[in-house]
Amino acid sequence: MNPRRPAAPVLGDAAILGLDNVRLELPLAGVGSRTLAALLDYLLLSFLMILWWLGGMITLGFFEMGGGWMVAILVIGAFLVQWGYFAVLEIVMDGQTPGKLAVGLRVVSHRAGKPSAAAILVRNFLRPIDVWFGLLVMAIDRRARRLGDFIAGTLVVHHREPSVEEVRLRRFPSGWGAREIAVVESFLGRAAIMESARAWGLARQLLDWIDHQEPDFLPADWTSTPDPILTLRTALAAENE
Amino acid sequence: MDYLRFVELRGGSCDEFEQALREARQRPRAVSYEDLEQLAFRYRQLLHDHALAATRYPGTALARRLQRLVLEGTHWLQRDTGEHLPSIGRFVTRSFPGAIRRILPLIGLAAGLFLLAALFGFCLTTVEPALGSFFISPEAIAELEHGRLWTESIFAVTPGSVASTRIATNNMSVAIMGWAGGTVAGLGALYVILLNGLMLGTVLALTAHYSMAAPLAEFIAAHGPLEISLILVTAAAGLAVGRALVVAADRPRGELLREAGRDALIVLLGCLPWILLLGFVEGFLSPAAELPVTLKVAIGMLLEISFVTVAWNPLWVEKKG
Repeated sequence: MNPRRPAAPVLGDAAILGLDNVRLELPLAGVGSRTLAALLDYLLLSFLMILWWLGGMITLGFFEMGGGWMVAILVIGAFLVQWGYFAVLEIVMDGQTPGKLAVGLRVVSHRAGKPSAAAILVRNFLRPIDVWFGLLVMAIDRRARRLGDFIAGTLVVHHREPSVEEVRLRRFPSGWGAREIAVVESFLGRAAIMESARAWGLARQLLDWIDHQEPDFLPADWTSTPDPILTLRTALAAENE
Repeated sequence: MDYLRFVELRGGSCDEFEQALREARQRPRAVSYEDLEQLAFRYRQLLHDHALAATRYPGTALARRLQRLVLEGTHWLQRDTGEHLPSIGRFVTRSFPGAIRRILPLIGLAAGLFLLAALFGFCLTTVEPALGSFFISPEAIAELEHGRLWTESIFAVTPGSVASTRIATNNMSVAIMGWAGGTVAGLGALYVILLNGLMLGTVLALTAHYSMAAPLAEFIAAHGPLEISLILVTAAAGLAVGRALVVAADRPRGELLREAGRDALIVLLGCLPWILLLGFVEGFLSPAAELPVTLKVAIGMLLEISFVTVAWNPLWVEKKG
């Protein structure tokens, strides 16, 4: 390190500086999830376009309605659906489209705020170029941005409610630090969705470990407990968030 | 402060913020100024709690919850006000002319390149008319040989309503593509400028070769001038984005790109209504044989003058500060 220059604050690829220079770690979406969301959206868009043209042709063919003006309306509608699908939905659905909603993604501004309508229009008008270069640019960029995101100043982040329950410990052995608390909280949150034999085995190992660290912490009869997960929860006064 | 004490002291504020944010999101119009101020105050407290938890108790349930709530709060409360689209009146009178002025040198560059390409195409096709087949189909050349413009047969079978909407939507797509092409270091926009210039020069030379320049001039009189202006202006907006991507400057590239992207969007949005109008003119007025040439020329000039007046806005004054 150059001794004459003060060290720059370390800000990882996924971190930004929020209000009061508080570091915010963003759950950035990668190439895979973004591509999957785009594929779903293009499938839906194609389906909408087919429906639109089919509906128009049936109206024209069977009911002989409109003539030239009907074709004109069909052309304008197709144009609006093609260019407006992503932009309008992202504005209306708070940075999401059906594809992004399914995959759990959301568009945010480069400061993690709500992107303006102008930014959403820019990123979506640049989509035809990104169809060709977007994947490559996303793969190279550390924040997985495509060209549209660069120009509009937007990011795509994961946005999904926690899939497992959050468990918080109210009591733990005196020597525990954040790492131990985090591991056990995470385990108790996931225990319900784990294979029961494995979850029970892990709970028993944790009880052993706690007993080894602080012998008086657990109830005296903990070794004969029929449900080690429940015993662990009770001993650590675990409660759901 | 130990973890349990921190949870005891600050855990409640998470619940309060989550509740307040949920209510505000459900009924944003019912949020009063005081509510919003209170929410922002709680958000700021939460942000500091998050900073402490992320450093002292990383990975714990409270730290994860704080991060989730802070991101939700940031998304709901923070908006980049400088990037808002202005109202329509302000857009037309201030933003659009301002953006046009900022990219004026690039419009000049685009016009110069367009003229050069047109001249090149004209000279080349005049010397070797067979080169016209690069841009004009053999059927269209056959029509020219019979003393007819290819546009006549198109408009004879296609109703004006269909033709005008197809032309308008196609032109808008081309304008957006040329504009978006600017992001590839300006190459896409350059391609649009040079290709259109080359096409115009070639078509003019080829029609002159078949003594059909006068009917062509009559056909394009009403829509041609504005169409060329719109191609050049939207492509220049694309070039501005390409310039921000390539040119070295004192400010961060990301910031310059966002600024250029916003200007480019304003120019594009300002041009789209004119492109729509042009579709109507090209679909209905240009092919109308009953309209006198002088009227078509007058319409073309009127459209061009109107666009230049709106785009330039002589009353526009740069805002100080």
